[in-house]
Amino acid sequence: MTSPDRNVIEEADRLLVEGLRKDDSASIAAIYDAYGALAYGLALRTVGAAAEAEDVVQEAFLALWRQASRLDPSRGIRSYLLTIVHNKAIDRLRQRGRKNEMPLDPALPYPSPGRGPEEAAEAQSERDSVLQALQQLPEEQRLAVELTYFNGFTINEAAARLRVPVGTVKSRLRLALGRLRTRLVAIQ
Amino acid sequence: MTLRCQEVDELLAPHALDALEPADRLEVLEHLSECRLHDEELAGYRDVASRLPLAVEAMAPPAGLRSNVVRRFEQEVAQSTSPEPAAPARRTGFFEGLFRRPGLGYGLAAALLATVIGLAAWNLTLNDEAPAAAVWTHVVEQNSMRMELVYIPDQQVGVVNLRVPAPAPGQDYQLWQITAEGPLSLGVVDYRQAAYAIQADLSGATALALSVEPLGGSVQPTTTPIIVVEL
Repeated sequence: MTSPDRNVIEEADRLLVEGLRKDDSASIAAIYDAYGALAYGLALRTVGAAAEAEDVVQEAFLALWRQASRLDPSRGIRSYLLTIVHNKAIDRLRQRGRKNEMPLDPALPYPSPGRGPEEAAEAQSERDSVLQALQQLPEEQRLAVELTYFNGFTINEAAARLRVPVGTVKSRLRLALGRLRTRLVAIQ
Repeated sequence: MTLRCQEVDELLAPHALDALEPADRLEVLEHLSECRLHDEELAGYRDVASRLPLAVEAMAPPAGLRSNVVRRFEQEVAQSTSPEPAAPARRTGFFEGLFRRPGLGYGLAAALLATVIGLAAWNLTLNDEAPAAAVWTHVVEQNSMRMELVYIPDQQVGVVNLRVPAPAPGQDYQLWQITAEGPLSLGVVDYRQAAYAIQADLSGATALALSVEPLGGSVQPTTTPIIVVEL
């Protein structure tokens, strides 16, 4: 069953996508206000440098607009935006031949963005769920996910880094995503 | 298909995490375009991948970022609606509008394709003495994919006809002209749009190439082209 809050978000996303399709700058500003902090957090976590993270976020918002005609609002703007941010951030890492080695869950010294208390609580709850699911993975599987998804390593690079065969990284990722799926579905 | 289903199964999870080397990713995409046995498993992995960013803490962005995002957006909108050419080798004017409206774009591109192909056919029927309008036609097929270019150099317009598999979520195809100075973008290509019109000076190009890029495209190619037409 879909919660009323979820319906409200879907309707808001639908209107924002319509706005993007009409080149409406108020819509891009509204999307930034809703998800800009999350986008910036992901970009900074991935590329590790504030100036690059800003570039990534700007490029991601423009890419979101360029793709507006293809967006399915029911999938959620947040999902699209964060996928774009991640792709562009990884793209930068790979272009420059370097990896970001930042651990996933440091005590980050940045203040949370100015959200309402309910939104902030929901976002924190979602984050806790994903973090918990990641932390419950066997160490070698969690590391494989961190190296590839969050640090931008290919499986070949991750295998070299971990000094294991590429096939081992493949199987660790397969097992990890399978377990994450089960756990994330269970706590949905 | 060069990969077997079992091999693709082993690559699905890293594929969903965008952790494959370009050549492996291409082989997986090729297999997935013709085999539906992996759809459900891949959808599950992608669902997980789409939630992984939530593990990252939201952070207050720098104060000027919001205004920079909005300003760049407004600049891009102004450029995209301007009738003036913005840069060489870029779709402009009539073509710009054509690409900003995919539904309309398909029809117009298809009409243009028919016109260009008709012109090419007419050109072929001319005798040697006639002042033929030069038309380039180049076709390449590889790994179940196909790219065809029909181009009129005098008018610097043409059509690229593509048959490629759907890109993975979060990825786009981008078309490039390869020149001595390096690749120049010809734009992000909607794979569902069979005919893709271009307006660009290809006189200095040695090839057209199609690469897989992050959604929205890249400034420079970030992966090995999946298909190349030599000019």
